[in-house]
Amino acid sequence: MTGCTHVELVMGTAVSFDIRDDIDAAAIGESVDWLHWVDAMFSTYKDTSMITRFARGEIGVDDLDPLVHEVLDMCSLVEIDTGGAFSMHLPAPNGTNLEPSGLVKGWSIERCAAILERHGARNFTINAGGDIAIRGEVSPGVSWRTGIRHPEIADQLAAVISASGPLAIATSASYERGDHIIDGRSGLPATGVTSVTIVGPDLTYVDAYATAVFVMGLDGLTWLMDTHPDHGGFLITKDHQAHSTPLFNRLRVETNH
Amino acid sequence: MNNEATPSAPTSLTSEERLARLAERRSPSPRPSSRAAPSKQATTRRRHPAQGSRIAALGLSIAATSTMGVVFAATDRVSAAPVAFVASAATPITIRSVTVAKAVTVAKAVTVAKAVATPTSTTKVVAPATAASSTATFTGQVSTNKWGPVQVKITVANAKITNVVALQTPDSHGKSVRINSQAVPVLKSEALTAQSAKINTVSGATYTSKSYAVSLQSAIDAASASGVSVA
Repeated sequence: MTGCTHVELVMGTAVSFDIRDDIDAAAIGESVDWLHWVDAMFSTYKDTSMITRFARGEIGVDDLDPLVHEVLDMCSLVEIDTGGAFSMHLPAPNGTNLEPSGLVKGWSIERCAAILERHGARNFTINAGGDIAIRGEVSPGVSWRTGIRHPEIADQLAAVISASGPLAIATSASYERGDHIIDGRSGLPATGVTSVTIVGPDLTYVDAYATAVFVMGLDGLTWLMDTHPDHGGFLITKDHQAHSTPLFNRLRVETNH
Repeated sequence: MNNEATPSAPTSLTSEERLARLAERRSPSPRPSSRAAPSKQATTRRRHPAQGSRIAALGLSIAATSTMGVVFAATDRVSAAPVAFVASAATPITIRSVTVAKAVTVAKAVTVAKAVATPTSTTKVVAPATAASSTATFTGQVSTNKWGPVQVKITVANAKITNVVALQTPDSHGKSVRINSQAVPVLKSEALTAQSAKINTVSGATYTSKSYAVSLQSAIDAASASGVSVA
């Protein structure tokens, strides 16, 4: 098996690359540089990031990098689209009320996948702390198998999906940092749901929708089906019921629980 | 979203019922589907006077359908659809002599868009309305696409579509039926082990750099790095 793997600690998490094609070494280097650039621009943990300085009024709109503009625009669109369930106008670690991180990670990984493709990679996954961009196959005729982490039993799985790329998978859940997912409509932590996994074509939106559906609860799954039928969802409630949409079920591997 | 933007419905309920009743009596549907049949409590005995209106209505409806199809097919990402749709509606789009002059609610528009863009059967006019007046409503037949049944009613005033209402959308038929539910195993002995599932990668809540070390993904990465294929 040719190809390579790489793990980069960036954006406060670990980003795992699993590339099944032979590509030049510069591909990983360029990808990693990109992720560190995104961190430097968008981190709401850093006083020096462009997003922090903008939120604090130290720089104006005209000083923003075009890509920061692009992200803020996309956040606004998703906020409208989700009826405010996803919102960037929430308290951020830097003390401001501008928090686009819920979209930045997915967006940056999607662009990272484009970098790898430009270097000739066709079959790979990039897993950014649990949010995944998939391209191609593991090997000819073999789809990528992705486990959905069990919300309460950390080393085991609640579901498995099998799919070739392009596909994006993102999970929002409360188990890593408690009830940290904030309802953009109320500003309060979302409750009632322990884990939401969304699958779809673009991690930018899949990541944001995972947050939005987590906030909306079970109604979020019907919202997803009705407004984004090219996306699938898998939701686990606090009373241990798992709910999944038909598209998700099509990708799901039958497991003998 | 934007549900308050529902345009005014110029037709009264009784006239709708009357028309539907007429449609039942005068033009038995060529399709077996009778879900379009509205309530049968209409009491009027008036017959529809306009003989030629059905042809016109058919044309209008098809034009309306295709107009909507064009409008919605043009919005490549649904996330951008609300904005794109509002923008489209603000600028009237003319196809043949029919102009889309008014938008329906965004939420419904998106659903209708999906339905109209990829129907498995063509929507046809069932009930022409009061053609003698300048305002008329036309109810399409139930069309089933892969998301479920769809039925649309349009209102035409002075050769312009002034309102589009989705009488049936996929979500009006058993939302919950489409969502599959099951119990998640609570005991560790019942849960699915990563090893037996032969997975390549794991999706979960974002772990921090610190907690990565204890994540399933780190075990998979370690195995891959040491040359052990996990696929």
